[in-house]
Amino acid sequence: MRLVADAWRDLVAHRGKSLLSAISLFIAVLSIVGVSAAAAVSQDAIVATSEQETGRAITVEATLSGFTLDPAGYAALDHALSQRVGALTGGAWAVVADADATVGVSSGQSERTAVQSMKLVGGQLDRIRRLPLVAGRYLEVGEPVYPGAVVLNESAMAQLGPVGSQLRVGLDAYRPPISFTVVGVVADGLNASAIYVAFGSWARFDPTLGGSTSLRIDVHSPAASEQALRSALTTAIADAGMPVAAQVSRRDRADEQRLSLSSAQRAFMAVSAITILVSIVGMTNIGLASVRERSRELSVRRAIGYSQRRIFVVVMSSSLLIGVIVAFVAVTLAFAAVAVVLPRLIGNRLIEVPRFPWGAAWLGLIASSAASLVGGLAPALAAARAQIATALR
Amino acid sequence: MTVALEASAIRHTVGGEDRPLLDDVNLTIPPGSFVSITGRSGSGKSTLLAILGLLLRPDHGTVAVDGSTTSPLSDSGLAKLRGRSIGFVFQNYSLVRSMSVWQNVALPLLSTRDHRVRDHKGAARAALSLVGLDGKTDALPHHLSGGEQQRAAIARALIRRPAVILADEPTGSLDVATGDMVLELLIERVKLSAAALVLVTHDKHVAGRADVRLELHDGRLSA
Repeated sequence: MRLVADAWRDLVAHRGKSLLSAISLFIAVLSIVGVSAAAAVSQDAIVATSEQETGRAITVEATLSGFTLDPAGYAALDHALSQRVGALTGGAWAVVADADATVGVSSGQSERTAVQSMKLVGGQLDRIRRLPLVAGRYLEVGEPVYPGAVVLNESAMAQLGPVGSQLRVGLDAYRPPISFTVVGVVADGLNASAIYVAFGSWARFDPTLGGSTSLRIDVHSPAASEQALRSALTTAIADAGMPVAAQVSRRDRADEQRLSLSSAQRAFMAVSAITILVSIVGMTNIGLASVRERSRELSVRRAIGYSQRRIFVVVMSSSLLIGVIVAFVAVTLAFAAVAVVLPRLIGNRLIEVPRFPWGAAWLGLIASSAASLVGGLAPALAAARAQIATALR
Repeated sequence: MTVALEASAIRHTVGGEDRPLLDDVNLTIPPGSFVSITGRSGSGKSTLLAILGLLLRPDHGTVAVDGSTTSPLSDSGLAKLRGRSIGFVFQNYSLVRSMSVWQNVALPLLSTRDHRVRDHKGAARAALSLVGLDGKTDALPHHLSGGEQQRAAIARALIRRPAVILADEPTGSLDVATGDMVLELLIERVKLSAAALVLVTHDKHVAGRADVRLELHDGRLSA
């Protein structure tokens, strides 16, 4: 503590030069912390967006078209996927079919109707895609038959109403509309409105499943290989006796995004490393100039009992103190940017704003401390070698 | 009784000169005594003071401070001994401009990891009080007059209660009246602390105040 106090006093006593050194270092450290934090945060945001739209790593999809899935076919597919994909570690699957329906919602005395895109879903879509809840809950197994449950995306919510709203869904002109209750709202990353309804729920009223002629099956496992997922999916389709050959492909894009982001991050970090080197040279120059100015003071200090080692340690400690203070300020600024600015930029699209990456703070502290120590080395050596006999001149 | 300062057979040559600046200098100073050293400019007074103050190693001879022989000591050992046993009063005060008066006075306490004195400001305040600078604790040196700065330098020299005070022309930068006052204070405070005072000066009047008056001539000391 005594050394820190001595170093602090030394720093304050030569505040002009100390401030110059700090500014020289600050720009470099802020760029290190900023690049590192921005990379981590944008990785979180970009990966989250990708997971919202295309699924978590690894997700494989099969698109089947040219036929109509009936409830018996769906049950067979459900069973086959449960067997094949359920056997994989953390395995999840989802079946998605698109259908259009006329959806009405009461508005005072009148009822507004519009054709809406219905997404008939089975399995665990919320485990495959990131679908953060804005309100309410997601679809569950064993939803009540009447009124059925639907989940809206934010765009649909804007048109049809919040959780608790009653929707009247018309299947065709010959059958009366069916009531559905909005049980949840999710952020699915889509701009177009979408209404999610469980396959099972829908099939009770419409065994033709809206006449949908295309179907997408997503399978996901965080631990299995892409090959294992492809194999499980194609085997399940064959087991279910699906009559159409499936086109199987990798669906998630998170790894690609990470890769391109890390290339950009490396480039920015290289620039930051150069700024650190420049700041080290700056600190060394400022430090040496300061030692020259302080030569008489340093020799007096030697005369009154400071050893060379003690002077070296005090100058190095002052330099390190600058590094720590600079790191603290840079991290505080980066933290404020992530905590205050980022939520405004992101809005509620992802619901969960990325947290401040503390790894960036540590990196900044290490870089700042290392730079201040290297930058302070030559001045500290010069200070320790101050001519002691000049104290009497 | 321990000798405060002893120099034996000191010989020292500077700047490639053939003739030594100091030649066979011997000096024994008991505690509490006041010794003045006079001599012409270039006679080697400051060089002798630097050797006695362990700022310079002589080419030949030994120096002992407060009973400790200095020849075998490393630079770090010499620094430690200087900090503990020697106080310096310089002609130009040598206060650090950017530090407050109390911080200047406390500097010797910070030179080593001496944990006996924990309250540096309190110790500095007490030392400043002894030289009549109670109200100047937090002032910067350049806000003080020359006489006040030299009094602060005396407080700094005395703060660790050294065995020896070495003063190099302590009144050289002051007018006569202020110089007399500062000299009086220096002598009084050093006597009260029972330290030995070695004062280098070219001023006969100042030298006349000493118990022992020595003159450096042709590299040798004489009474």
